[in-house]
Amino acid sequence: MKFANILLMLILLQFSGNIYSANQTSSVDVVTTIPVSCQFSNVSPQIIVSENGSVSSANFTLNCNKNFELQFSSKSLKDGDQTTSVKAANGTKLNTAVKVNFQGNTFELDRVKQISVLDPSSSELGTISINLASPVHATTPAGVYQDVLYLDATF
Amino acid sequence: MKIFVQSAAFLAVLLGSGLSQAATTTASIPMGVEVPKSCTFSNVSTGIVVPEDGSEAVGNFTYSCNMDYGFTSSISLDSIDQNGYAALKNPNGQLPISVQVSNLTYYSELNKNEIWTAASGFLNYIVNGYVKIKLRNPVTAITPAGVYSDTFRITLTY
Repeated sequence: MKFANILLMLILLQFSGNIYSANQTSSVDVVTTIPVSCQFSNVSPQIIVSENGSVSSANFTLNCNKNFELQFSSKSLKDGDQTTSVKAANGTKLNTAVKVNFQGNTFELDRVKQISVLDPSSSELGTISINLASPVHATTPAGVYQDVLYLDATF
Repeated sequence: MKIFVQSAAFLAVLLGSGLSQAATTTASIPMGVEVPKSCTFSNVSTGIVVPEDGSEAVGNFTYSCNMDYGFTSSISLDSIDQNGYAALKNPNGQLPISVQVSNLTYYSELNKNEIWTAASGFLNYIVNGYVKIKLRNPVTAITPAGVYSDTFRITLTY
C-alpha cells in the first residue's frame, strides 16, 4: 500500500511537470576585480638644463583609477640639500629652481612635496620646469652637473 | 549557504587586502647641464714697442680657465728658429732680440716655442704672464731705417 502511494505520487509529479509551465532560474555571480593602479607614461627621458638660466621643461602623464598621493622630490633634496641643485662629480653645485605644474597648480620644489589627489581624471598631465638660479659664467668650473627628479605616486 | 559564506569571506579578504596595502609607482627624470671648458684672456697688451737702445720692453697677458687641469699653454714667437734665434724683421733686415717669458708658474728665456701643460690646481687660477723683449744690440747709425716687427703668440688648448 505504501509502495502504491509513492508510485502514484511520482506519477502525479511527472504529470504536473508536463502540464504546468515553470521558470527555472539559475544564477552565477560574475565578478571581476579591477586592481587599483597608477601608471606613469610619456615621461620625458631627461631635461637638459640651460646654461644661461632660461627655463627648460619636461612632461609626464599619470593615470590612476583611484585617489592617490603624489610626491615630488629630487636627488639633491634627498641628499639633504636645502635647495635643489645640479652637482658635478667633484661635489660642485649649481642651485636650481624646479617647479612642477600638476592639475592646474604649480608646486615649487623648495623641499620634498606631497599632494593628495582625491578625484583623479583618467589622465593627468604634469609639467616640470627647471632653471639655474644663476647663469653659468666664465669661472664656473667646467663639467657635467646632474640631478634627478623623482615622482612617486602612492595609491 | 555554506559555500556562499565562504565566497563572501573570500571576497572580503580580497577587498580587504586591496584596501590595506598601498602601492607606489615611481618615475624619475635626470636633469643636467654641461658647463663647457673655457679659457678667457684679458689685459693683453696691444703692442710692445721695443726701445732702440737695447733696454727692455714688457708686454702683459692674463688668462684663466674654468678647469683644474687639462689645458696647455703654448708660447711662440713667429721669428724664432730651431736654433733659438729670434729677431724683429723687415724686408731690409733684422734685429736680434732676447725674449723672456713668464707663464703659468714658469719663467724662462724663450729660445724655442714652448708648450706648458697645466697640472692640477689651475681652476680659475689667474695667470698673470708677461714677455720681456729687448734688442740684443742697440740700434746704430747704420741700422737700416724702417719698422721691424715680430709677433708673440699665446695659445691655450683645452
